[in-house]
Amino acid sequence: MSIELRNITKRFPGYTALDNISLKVATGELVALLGPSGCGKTTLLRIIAGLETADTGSIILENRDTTNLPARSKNVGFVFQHYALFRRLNVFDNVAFGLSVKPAAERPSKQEIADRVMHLLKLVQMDWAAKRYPSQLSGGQRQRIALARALAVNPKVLLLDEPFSALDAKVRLELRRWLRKLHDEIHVTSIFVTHDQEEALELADRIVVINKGKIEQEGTPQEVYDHPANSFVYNFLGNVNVFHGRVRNGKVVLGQRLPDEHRELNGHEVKTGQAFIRPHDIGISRIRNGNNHPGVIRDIRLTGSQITLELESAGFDRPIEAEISRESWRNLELTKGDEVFITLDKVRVFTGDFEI
Amino acid sequence: MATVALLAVVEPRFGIELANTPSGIVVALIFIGFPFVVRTVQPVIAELESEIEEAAQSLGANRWQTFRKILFPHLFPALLTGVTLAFARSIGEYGSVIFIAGNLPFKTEIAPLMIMSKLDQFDYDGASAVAFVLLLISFIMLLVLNGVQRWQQKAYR
Repeated sequence: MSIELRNITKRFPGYTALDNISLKVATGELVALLGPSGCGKTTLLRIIAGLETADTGSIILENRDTTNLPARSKNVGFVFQHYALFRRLNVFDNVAFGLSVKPAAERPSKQEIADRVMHLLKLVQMDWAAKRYPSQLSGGQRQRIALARALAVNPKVLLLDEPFSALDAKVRLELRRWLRKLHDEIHVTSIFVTHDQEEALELADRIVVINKGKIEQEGTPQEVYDHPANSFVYNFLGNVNVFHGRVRNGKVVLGQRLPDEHRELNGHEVKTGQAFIRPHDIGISRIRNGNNHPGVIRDIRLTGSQITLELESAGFDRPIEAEISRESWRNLELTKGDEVFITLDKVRVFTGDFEI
Repeated sequence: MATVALLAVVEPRFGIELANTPSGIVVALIFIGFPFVVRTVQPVIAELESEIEEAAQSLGANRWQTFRKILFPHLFPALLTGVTLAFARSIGEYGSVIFIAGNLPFKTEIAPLMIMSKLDQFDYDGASAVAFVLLLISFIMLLVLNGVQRWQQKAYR
């Protein structure tokens, strides 16, 4: 076990940033902390790095209690959202910094430092820029230098604080695939913080969903996406249709007909509840059967590879969004104003108040 | 000016002789020049991201290393500008110097005051001569500071 957090709590005046968080990260794992902004995920990362201290709880890195160690003794690599490169040092000196500030007894020789730096620069494909200054590089290049700099000191764990959020969409996508590949090569235990669910789903071995200082769910990307533990996770991961209604006798009363039994719900009391369904789980058909609802297409949007339909159906409090492939769109010959039949088999119901 | 006066009053209690001594000149000019340095360096410190320091820390640097290798090089250009301004201001300053250092001939006499007293005696030639030397010295000093600044920027770009 590379990283173990036990009962971390952190309070700021007026609110609790982290509420009794416990988390384990196995050696070599790439874990995403996912949550909306202000949920405490960055604070958690900074506490692991020693840049902030927890009020209670302990942090164990590779079986050593590092709770009270200062950041410089933790041997943790940290990559910042806005790179935080040293502007007055060139790329080479930036990467060499961690090695050159070691006490004389531990410091490698000049030649060894140079070899290590060039090796890392090759690893991040930036060896051509050794003599450049950070101001002469693009955002994506700077972030790769920041990564090389953090790796230079052979950190036990690598922490990345929203590493791609300052980059434009295309570079972001490219860099995260590249990071995944790099991680497969060097296997350093890593945690990255993100509010971008797509990024977390694509990049991480495991996702930890955090909201309001608490862990809502943790699991592989597929687990959290396909089996969200609660309404928050369902809503936060991916697009979703939410319908508000009442739950009676374990049945949701929504629209004209909705799937009946839901094992989450029992008893006879009437509760408010929400039904969730992802746009791509909605079936669209021209033919009526006993299990689908009539609806009218209000809008058709072409969003790249998918077609997004906006549907209206009697009894639903808001328009339903459905995603279908281009192929089925062509086959069904759908146009605005058409009457179609909607299948909502994969709907999931949660009771209690929903909020984000 | 008030600070200078205050210092002149307080200073004997600490056993350091400043009134009517050459070190008095230094103290007076530091007080005059200091605001220029503060004014130029302070905004640079203010815009310095704390992340830079945190990055250095997480890479294992202690406070002194962080300051020497990261923060100081960052502040240096502003510091140099401040020093240049302070120097330019101090070269002509004599009001505060008279108060604290007096004007003892060959001991705490300063060039600007010498020019003033020569002008008072209608010794225009003498005043011009001193002024010329002063001008020459300040010109050389500013040239040197400019050179350092340019060299600094070249190393950075």
